Amino acid sequence: MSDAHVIVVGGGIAGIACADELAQAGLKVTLIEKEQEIGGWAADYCCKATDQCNRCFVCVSDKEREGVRATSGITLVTGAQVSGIEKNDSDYAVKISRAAGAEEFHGDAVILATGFTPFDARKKGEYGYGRYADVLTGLDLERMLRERGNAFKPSNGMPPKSVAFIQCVGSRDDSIGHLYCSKACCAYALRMARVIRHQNPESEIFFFYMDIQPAGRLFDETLKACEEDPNFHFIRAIPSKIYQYTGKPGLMMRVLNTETGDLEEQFFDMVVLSIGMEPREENAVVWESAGLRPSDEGFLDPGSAEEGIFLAGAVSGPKDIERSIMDARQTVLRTLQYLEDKS
Amino acid sequence: MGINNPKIVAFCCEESGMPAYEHALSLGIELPEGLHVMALPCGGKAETGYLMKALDNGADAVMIFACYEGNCKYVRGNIRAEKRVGYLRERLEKIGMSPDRIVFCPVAPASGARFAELVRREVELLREG
Amino acid sequence: MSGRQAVLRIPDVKPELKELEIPREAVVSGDHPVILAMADGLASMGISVTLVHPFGEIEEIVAPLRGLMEADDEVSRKYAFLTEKVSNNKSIKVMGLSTLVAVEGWWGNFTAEILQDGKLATVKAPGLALAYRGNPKVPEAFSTDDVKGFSEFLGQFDFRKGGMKKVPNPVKRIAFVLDVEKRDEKWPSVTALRFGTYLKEFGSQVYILCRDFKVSVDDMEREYRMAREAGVMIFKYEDLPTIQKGGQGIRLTFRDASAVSREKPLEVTLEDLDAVVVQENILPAEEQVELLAQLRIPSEGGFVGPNNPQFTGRTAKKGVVVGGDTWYPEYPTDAMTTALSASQELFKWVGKGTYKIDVERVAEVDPSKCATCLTCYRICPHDSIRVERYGERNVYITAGAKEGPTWEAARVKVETCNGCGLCASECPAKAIQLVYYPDMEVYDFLEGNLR
Repeated sequence: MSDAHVIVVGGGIAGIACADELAQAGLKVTLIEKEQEIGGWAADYCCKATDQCNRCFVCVSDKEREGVRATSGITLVTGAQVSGIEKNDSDYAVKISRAAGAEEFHGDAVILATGFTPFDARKKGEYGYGRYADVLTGLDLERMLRERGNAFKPSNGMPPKSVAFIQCVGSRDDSIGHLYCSKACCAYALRMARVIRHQNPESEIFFFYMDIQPAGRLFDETLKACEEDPNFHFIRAIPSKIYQYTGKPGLMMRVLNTETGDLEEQFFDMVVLSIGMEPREENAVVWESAGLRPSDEGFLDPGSAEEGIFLAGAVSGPKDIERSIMDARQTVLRTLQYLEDKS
Repeated sequence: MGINNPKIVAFCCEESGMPAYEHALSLGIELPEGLHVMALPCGGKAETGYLMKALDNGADAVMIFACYEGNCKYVRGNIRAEKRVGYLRERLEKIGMSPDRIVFCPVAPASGARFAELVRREVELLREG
Repeated sequence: MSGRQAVLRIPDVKPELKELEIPREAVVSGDHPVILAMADGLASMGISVTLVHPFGEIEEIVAPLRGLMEADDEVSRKYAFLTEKVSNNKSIKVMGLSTLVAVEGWWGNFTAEILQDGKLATVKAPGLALAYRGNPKVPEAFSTDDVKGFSEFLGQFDFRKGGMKKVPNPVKRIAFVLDVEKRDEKWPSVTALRFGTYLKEFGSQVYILCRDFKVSVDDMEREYRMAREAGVMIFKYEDLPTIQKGGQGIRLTFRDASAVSREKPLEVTLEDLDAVVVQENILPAEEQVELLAQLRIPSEGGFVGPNNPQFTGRTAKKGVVVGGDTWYPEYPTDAMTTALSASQELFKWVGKGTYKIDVERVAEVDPSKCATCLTCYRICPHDSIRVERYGERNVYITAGAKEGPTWEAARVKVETCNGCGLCASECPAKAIQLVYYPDMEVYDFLEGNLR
């Protein structure tokens, strides 16, 4: 088994974790990534520590990525788009195309870790994403905090005073066919909201949500810290529309006053849309070539994977970094079992 | 009485401080030339002797870049370092030196912006005297 | 990348590898059903597993799940399959009616004392997997006779597949109350929804009261909708519901938090309930607390404490992995993922037969300077330091110390040392140095660059 060769498709956190574990088990690994750099979405995320670590796992993903780059047993193939997966008599052929031309890799097993696509907030036109500069997605805020260190309004570069977080944008929403929870958004939104509060003690957070979804153990600490903060307001209602009045600064939303039950107009400096995850539809052809079927939610159904093909991470449904790594390790165990039985 | 172009020794945890320093460089942020960067396997390895030796050799300030509380690879190295810094700051004050010459700074590996900001603040502090 | 700063990096010492013999064996111990997944996961990779559990039969390990196994096909399928696999696997040495009473040692060399039938057996193993069930405790606000915890309630349904069809439905009107004290656990939402929907088929009226309904589990959003369509009523509360005897059963009263106004709250009363099931707090099992202490694994309130990277199932001590409630209370299918992930971690340490470790990236004690003050022993995050008799007489040896051919001094276990240097920085006698990064490197840099 130790001379077995496994092909991992997708260089996001799940693929990286798989490659790392397999290499540690002494196997040969080829990691195929379509971008020029491995890392996936998590490479854009920011640390969400306030005065202590808030367990967002972003640094873990950073370290794993560097670790994989430095491991000799892993062959990195970047800038490569997979065009098909074929089962031969004894192994699998993964066909790729890249700038240098088409190539084929052969492996004893294939792990698909092609991840997700962030929900395109433009599909929810009522929130004006793309039209109003100060309407950001969670991903935009992650990148801003990672690259610039602090939150500011894109329109004028000033720190925002009142910030609204709208949860479940693209999740738990049957009108766009997404009858699932994206699992990571409550946690990342609450943690980033705390970072904003920590950076600017005068800022105020308005958190619009349906149900708060915990992530991992000790999440109670984060939740309690938010609830005890007098400038942190939880409102169990999702606003329906964002607009701007000509000549007036700020973003206007009609929001619920939870005390009186009345709808009121309120201005915000910045609105963060907590976007969820979508299946990667561009991979449908590849999936079909490998005989994989989507689940009701549109992600891949692990039950449809034939022997020797395994799924890891958000390809089979939304997962946060912690769950992706865990899923990857579970997948590696199953892959090793498969190779053990085969040999 | 402030110091221009101060000499600062930054003891950087290999898990957080060093990657943060490199992240700052990769973002193209200018860091002062007087900054001396020293990697340590853990913030907790920044022992009293190292910190004193740095001041003894003419450093204007010593900064310890370690992991946030709850994120130490070695469980409590960062907490040991923070405690040690607190103790040394008290000692410095007792002998009539500014306690700000030794500071503890928690950072994350991908927070180059914060790393640079902390160094900038320290330089400013020393300049004001 | 390089800046204009003077930089001292950790020396790029070529690793000096030492090959260790690590027998392909492990002890899996506990009373949580996921011990089956751990034992099977390791055994199927060719590792000889000793499975220590307190039950008479292997089937009893999944007894706490039987109620759920009726309601949830996935739980049923996964755990029934495992029970059979473990029962038929000859390479798993099953020790029933046993408890792991004492354990010591380190990666590659653990000694476990197992009590079986009043007799003490000693098993040596290079790796350990622990998964215990927590003690469920009904929160004080609800500790009345009328209220049951989830485990006690589900315990009533401890019969084999299809059993519910043969007995009269014991509950006509039932309310599940979730999120009473702990709000970051998802298992109560999943259990209440799946078991509630199941009871609905047998004619029960089901109410679920929660602060936030946890849909962040695979398929839950869809099931949440289907359950509501089937008539399971789900309410959100902010202040804890009050409970009274009333009518022909129990009465629950609360304010509906999804009402739009706090000034004009919507009071809801549920009458004539014949069962109220409350989310318990899961307290750590006593054996677990005891074993973690013996292994010197940092713990938080009896559960496995901080270690970083905080990968699920890992502990600060190399060679020990955990699952079940020892890690964190989870729904059985999630708990299985955690357990398998932990098995993979352990497989890495014990799976190859031999293991190469770097004997450069470690700390080393100079026994001639060691005062055996135990500072390093107490501070080592990975429990890698022991005091052994191997040194020579030094200035710290006082009159009256036990004579012998060798003298006591601390010694670093290179197998489990990660080379963090905490011991070196705290040693009052300066007897410890990092082999790959001695103090002189730091001092030379400071003198060479600052002056």
